[in-house]
Amino acid sequence: MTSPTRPTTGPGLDWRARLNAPLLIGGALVLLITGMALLSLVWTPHPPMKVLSTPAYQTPNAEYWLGTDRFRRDVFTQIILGSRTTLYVGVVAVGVAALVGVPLGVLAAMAPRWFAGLVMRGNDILLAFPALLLAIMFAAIYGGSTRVAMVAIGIATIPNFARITRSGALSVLSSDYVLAARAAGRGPLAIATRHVLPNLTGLVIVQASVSFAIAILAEAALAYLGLGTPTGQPSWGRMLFEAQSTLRSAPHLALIPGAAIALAVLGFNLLGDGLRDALDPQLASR
Amino acid sequence: MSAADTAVVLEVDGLDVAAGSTSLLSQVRFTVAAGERVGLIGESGSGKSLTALAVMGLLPDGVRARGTVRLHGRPQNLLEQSAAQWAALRGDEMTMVFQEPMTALNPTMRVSAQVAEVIRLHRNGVSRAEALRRAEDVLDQVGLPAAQTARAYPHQLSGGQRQRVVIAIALACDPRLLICDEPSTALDVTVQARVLEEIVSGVRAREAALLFITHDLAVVAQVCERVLVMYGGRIVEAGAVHEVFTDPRHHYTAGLLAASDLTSLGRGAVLPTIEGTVPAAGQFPSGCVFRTRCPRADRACEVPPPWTAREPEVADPAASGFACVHPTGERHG
Amino acid sequence: MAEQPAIAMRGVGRTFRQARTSWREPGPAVPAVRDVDLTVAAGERVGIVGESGSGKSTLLRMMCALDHPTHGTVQVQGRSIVGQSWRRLQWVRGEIGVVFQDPMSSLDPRMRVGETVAEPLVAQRIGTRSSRADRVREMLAAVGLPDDAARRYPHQFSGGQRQRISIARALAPSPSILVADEPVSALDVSVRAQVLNLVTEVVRTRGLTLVFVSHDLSVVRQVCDRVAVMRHGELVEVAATDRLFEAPQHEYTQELLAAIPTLH
Repeated sequence: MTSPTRPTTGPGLDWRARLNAPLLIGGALVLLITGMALLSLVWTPHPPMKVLSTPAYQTPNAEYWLGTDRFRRDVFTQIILGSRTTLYVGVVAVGVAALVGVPLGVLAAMAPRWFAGLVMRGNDILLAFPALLLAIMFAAIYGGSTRVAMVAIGIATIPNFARITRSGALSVLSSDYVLAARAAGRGPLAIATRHVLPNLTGLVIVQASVSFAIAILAEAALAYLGLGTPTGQPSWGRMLFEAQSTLRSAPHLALIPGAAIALAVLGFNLLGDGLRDALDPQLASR
Repeated sequence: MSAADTAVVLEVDGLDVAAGSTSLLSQVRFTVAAGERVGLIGESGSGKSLTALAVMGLLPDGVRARGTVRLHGRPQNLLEQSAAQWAALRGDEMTMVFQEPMTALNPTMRVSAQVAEVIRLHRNGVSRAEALRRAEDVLDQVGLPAAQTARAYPHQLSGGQRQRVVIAIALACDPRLLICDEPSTALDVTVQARVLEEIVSGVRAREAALLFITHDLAVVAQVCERVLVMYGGRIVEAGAVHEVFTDPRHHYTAGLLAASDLTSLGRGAVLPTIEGTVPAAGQFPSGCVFRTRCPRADRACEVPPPWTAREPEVADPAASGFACVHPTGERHG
Repeated sequence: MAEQPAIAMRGVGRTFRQARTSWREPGPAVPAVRDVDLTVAAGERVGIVGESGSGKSTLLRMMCALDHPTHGTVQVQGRSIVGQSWRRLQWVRGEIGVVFQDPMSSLDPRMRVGETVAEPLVAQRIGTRSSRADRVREMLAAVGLPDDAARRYPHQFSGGQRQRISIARALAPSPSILVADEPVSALDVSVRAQVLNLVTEVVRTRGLTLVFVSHDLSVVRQVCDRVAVMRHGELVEVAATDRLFEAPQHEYTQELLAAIPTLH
């Protein structure tokens, strides 16, 4: 017996009713960053990474909108280029985590208890490794680079996806429509792909948003430690690293990339929260 | 039996409830006297639960009520009082029992403590020990002897027992008005009978007014003296239970009665049904709210039907009448 | 002339093991169904009545091979369905159509109605895409829903309409047995009558065997020829409907009958 006051949503219904502030603000920030990254592919205010014949450590002015850094490169260009790395980082890390974590979670929910137990304990062990530690280990073995760092962070994020997917899958599996699917003759694989996964998309999207934010922070931390993006490739975290020594004399070199990172993380977190609120009632599916 | 003799405890007049521009309840009007048991019948989308929530001041965000709701002895319209005044009233003079006993009880508190909590909330100067003693008394009255059940946690009790705890909480402060919203629907039929007994004896002992909301006509026949039938956010018929159930005037009431009666027809016979389905909120037709599904509807029904009293010259026409211009069983014409 | 019973259950029991509360001992074994013997003849309409915890839903699931009994035998059309892999049980899926209780959760919210109704056909590899589409149209019409319902999503329908969709899905593979678990318990009174009419009609026109589980004796009385009363996992009384209502033998049946509130 549905309440007359609660709007029902779902595929095929008015999405406008579900918009909320975090979703809009987060969405705007994410779009901004994506826009910057796309823009950087075709245009930058000044030639990328080029050392200019201009004084270093300039504060923001008319020609160099955010100033120049110690290598006499335009900071604004660096920020725009850095956004590419930021997105790349998020996509690889979340991609690895989701591609492995989601099937793992569904498997843990559908497999016989002993096997599921094994999977979840393995999960717990992985969860115990801090992402950064894993990244450092990988860097030591494979050398430091953005890709290595991202795969490491992705692997460290697998348990989050596995855990949330498992609990969501258990909920879907206990519903009557899965029972009806079994009564219709569907086998476990068909049930997993046609009923469980589609009903978990919202859950996974929300987790992806949040993990994206974490991945960005992790990359920044790694780059700051000197383990991530090597010099030469633009990265906000790298910019922070390079700004260390001149914190007092040229604070803008640390504040600007710092602010960029903060806004990116904020954007993805808000987007995740907003999506959860917008999709939630429909997606706590039974 | 006339309501005019005993004091009216609850008076609802011109109650309109809307969510934004969608009207959910329209011109709801009824009274409940002390010691009287009134049933409110409706199906989903009829607005019966919303009526109870409006009377208790528990409407969800974004849903507004207009009109008057008055409790005997209080001059102020309840709909205009502050949150603090509502809080003082609820649990004390007006209480409610909901459908799901499991979610109504705190799983981490012992049952007796939950009843005692309500007592201490509304009775100043009652000590903890005294509140507990009174709580055990009330629990005893609803058939849960202290020795066995008072110190139990909700999950240790059966569904029927939990619902009785909820009733005990509702009766603990001797309310003047008890509202029950489908209290026995989630229970087994054998347990239902006992729970309904507890409710009836509980309100009888306190001379309290009872507003009993349900979709089950047979339960109303068993528990209530008077009945209000709701459809599309309006009361379409009202009157004494035995009168309305044996001689319904509104076609919706007649349809409900026919559909509820599973015993008079032979097995496999086609059951009488009401044409169509209940429209979504805000999509009810203008004029008579039932006309799109009524077998007797015609052009005259495009205008909202006036309320007609069952008997002329009755003290309170709202207590016994119907909203239909072509009532069933018309004796004249 | 002895025709194969549609469903034959002998000595069927189902025990569940509850979660552990101590690390040393396994959790207690709870018998949900104990030693049930029940035979449903072809074309018969049998009702199974019981309150919560009676085991009726568990019994129903074992009937449709959705759960396996801990002991006992279950035969459908004379063939055993116990202890087989799901692949070897596929034939049962085409024989038995199941309708569940909760109209809100028995349809996948993310699948269109047409896909849901076609699901048994897809799963059992019946027909081609276009013949399945025709079948879906046919089924929706049989349950009184318009053609365009196939393109819409469950949340766009009312509870009664969703139950109709469930019935359409159950009937799609032309089963010979229809099993319904409390199909009208979650519905309003006036909608209940519509769905009951539909069930009765569908069973009659297709000559189906019907097993109807309910907690409501009056509903079962309307639809079934024979009634089995369950309590605490056991069948306490099985009798022809009229006889059960006129002269109930077991005291629990009498208690159940006495507790039903009457209109007048």
